[in-house]
Amino acid sequence: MIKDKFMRQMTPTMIKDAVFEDEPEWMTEFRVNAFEQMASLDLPKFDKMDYHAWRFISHPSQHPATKTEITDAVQAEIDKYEIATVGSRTVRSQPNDEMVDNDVICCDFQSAFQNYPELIKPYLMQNEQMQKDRLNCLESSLTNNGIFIYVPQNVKLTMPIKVFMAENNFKAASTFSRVIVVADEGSKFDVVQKLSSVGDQKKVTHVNIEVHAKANSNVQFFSLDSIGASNTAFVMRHARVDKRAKMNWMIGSFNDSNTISDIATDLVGEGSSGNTRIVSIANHSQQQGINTRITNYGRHSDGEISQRGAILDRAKIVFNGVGKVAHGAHGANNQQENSVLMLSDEASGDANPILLIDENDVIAGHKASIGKIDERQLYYLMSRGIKPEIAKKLVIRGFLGIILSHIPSQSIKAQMINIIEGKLAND
Amino acid sequence: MTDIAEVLPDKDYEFGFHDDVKPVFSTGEGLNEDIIRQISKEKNEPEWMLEYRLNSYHTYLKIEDPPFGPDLSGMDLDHMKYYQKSTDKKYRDWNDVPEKIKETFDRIGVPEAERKYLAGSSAQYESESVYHHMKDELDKQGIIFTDTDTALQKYPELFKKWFGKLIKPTNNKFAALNGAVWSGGTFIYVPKGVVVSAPIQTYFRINAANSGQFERTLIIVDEHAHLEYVEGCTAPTYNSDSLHAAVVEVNVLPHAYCRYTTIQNWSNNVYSLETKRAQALEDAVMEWVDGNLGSKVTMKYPSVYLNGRGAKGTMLSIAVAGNNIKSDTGAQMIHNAPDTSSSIISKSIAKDGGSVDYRGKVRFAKNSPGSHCHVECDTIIMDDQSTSDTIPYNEIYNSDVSMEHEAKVSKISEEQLYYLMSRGITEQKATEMIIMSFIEPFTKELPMEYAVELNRLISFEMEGSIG
Repeated sequence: MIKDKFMRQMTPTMIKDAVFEDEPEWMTEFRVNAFEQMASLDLPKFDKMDYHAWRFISHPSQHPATKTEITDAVQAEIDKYEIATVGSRTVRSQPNDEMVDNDVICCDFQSAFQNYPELIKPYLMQNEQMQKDRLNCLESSLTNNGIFIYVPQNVKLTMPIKVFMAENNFKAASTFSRVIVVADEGSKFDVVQKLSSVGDQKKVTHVNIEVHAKANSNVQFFSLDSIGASNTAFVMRHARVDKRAKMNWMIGSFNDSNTISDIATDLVGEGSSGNTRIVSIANHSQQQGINTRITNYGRHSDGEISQRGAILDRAKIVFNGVGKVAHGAHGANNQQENSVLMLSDEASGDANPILLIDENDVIAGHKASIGKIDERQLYYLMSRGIKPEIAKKLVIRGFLGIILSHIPSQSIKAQMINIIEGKLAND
Repeated sequence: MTDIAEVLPDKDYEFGFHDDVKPVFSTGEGLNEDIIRQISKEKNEPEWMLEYRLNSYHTYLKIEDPPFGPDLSGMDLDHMKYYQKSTDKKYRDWNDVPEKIKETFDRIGVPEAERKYLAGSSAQYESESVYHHMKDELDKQGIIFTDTDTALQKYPELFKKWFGKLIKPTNNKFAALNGAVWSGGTFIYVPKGVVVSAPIQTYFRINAANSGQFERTLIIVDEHAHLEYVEGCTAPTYNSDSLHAAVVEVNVLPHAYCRYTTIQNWSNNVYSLETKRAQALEDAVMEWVDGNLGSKVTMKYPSVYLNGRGAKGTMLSIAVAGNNIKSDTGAQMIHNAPDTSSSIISKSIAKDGGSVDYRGKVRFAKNSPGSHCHVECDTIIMDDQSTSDTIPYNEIYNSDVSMEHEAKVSKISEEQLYYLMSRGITEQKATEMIIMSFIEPFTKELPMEYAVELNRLISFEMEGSIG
């Protein structure tokens, strides 16, 4: 077979390196199957994003590993989370009391294979059907870091489940992380996630997150993406939402790395709903491709997307918002809004709101706007005696603030504000 | 719910008849280099044009079908007739046009419209223009209005200066094919400061089965001049498919104005794959008014390259896709200069299993500070079998610009229906009223007073929905 550029980066021995200690046979088989399918599948197509020539994996042979250093500051942060991984190593697994009392499972894949093999298996295997493409097969076959969260029927948590995942840039080999979140029927909870990195060796990092929101469940998933500049990051998020369940994504995409980020929600069940909000800043010569999709399959399902981005320096953001309504989704609603703020003449941005409608009994709409900072808002603030630089920052912070007020973790909220300030400081 | 068929009836296509005019010259089926040489020789063209054609042909062979949009694999390009000439001469007096061709155009209503309102009109039948007429006073003002082949012979320098400057054969497969086998089309030059007070019209008609029509239109509106141009298209209904692959280039020079109105109403066996591009220089205004009512597959994304400071571009379009029609149309506004502005308003209706897509692009290039764009796309999907995609790309390379884009897809508003019906209006009548008000922004821009026939086409498609 003629190997294309992507396939030339792959060898079957990679699976051996990825396999978990004592992993069940079915898992290894699943990896091999996924690996074999890669050659015949295409990379997912995201409009206007030309990432096919990017690297998709980095090998241990490329750089010698150095000692992994977890600074006190990072350690102190890790201690605030229920579960934390650095590279493919689990460094903390301490569910809070509420989770323990309610039999909530939150552990790495290794423990899940030991303790709940039958529970995790169907969800692990489902990934493939959810997204049949080359990237997903790659991430399925080479998973070397995993977190499994299961919230039982009718459990309603008041405290968020906090997850920390850092790529280990002291080592050269790519981390392929997977997170599987299962919200069983009638459950309700928040997940707060932080993606980051330690060290500064160049590498490719993958994070693949799936949420299964079963009937009548209610999941809010917050994420602060702050992966370091030495990475190329692929962050894939998919949710499957059953009858009358609610699934909200709230994402601050503040990676310093070149990033492809895909957030897809399938509203499968009747009366299901999904809301995706994402804010992003790109600076330096960074490229971010952010693709958000909500598909209505269920009758009377309701989807909403808001995307906001600020672009500085020579950076580029491509925002695609895809609202898709499948035939038969009577009474579906699908709305989206994209706004891009251009903060530099050398920056470039795309805002592509796309509607794909195969059903007539729908209301679907999108809005996109692109522009500079609102002069009237600036003027208003300055007329109150606020200095121009500060007024400008306030306006931008307000623009990106649509998710800030919803974040249930003070620490994450504060960090998000710091990152926004930090990125704007270069301006 | 009203039976939609009553409101937008799937009536027989009014212009589906054909006559048995035998071409006086035809290159037969298929295409190769020899055929291109024959066409060029038959037209007695200069060497550079033959080279241009061959070059385009080689480009055509290398380009694939577009990677987006409707499936084109059903077209039988090997058995298509690429060049057919129906008369040996072009006529200036309607009475001299051969009887059968005249009857055809009479039935479509071309001469009637001309007599009443138009400053000039032209008719193309298959590959060649058969009739051309312009009012004498326009002649005296130095306006050139002729078919494109004649322009190449009579105004070689002007022609060469502008031909192919906006659209290269490499633009897409069908622009390349047009470059290879182009024939006919309209050439208009409006001299500096001349205002053409009434519209000029060309009518395109395909008659034979399995035909390709590759008209090439080139318009130059010189500084401070003013032009309104109208084109209409029909074809007979056959079981086999025909192809209409036009290339249209419009140059609007500083401070000039051009409005280009198209009413495309091909029969549902025509693939209409067109490449239309305009450039607007300093303070110039270019307006596309585009109605797509027929054909089997339409792919058309007219563009305005806003190349001069203060230039304006607008697109106002409606598309109606009925049974098995795939309409994939849109607009492109490319802001290449400071203080340019553009607007796109697109209204689409899908019914009886049709699919109507909007595909557009707005780009603000590096040197476009102070520019603005506004886009609105509205779609009504009338029934459970029909679909619609809205795919607008917005690319921004400058921070001092602004744009808004809005789109909406829905069925006929039940609230509006309910409101009207609560006033004692029947459901059918209420549906008609809602549809007519939906497309009103378009219909009110049509030159009602003079191009009677265009309105007839619209009202034909919408018949039953007009009170």
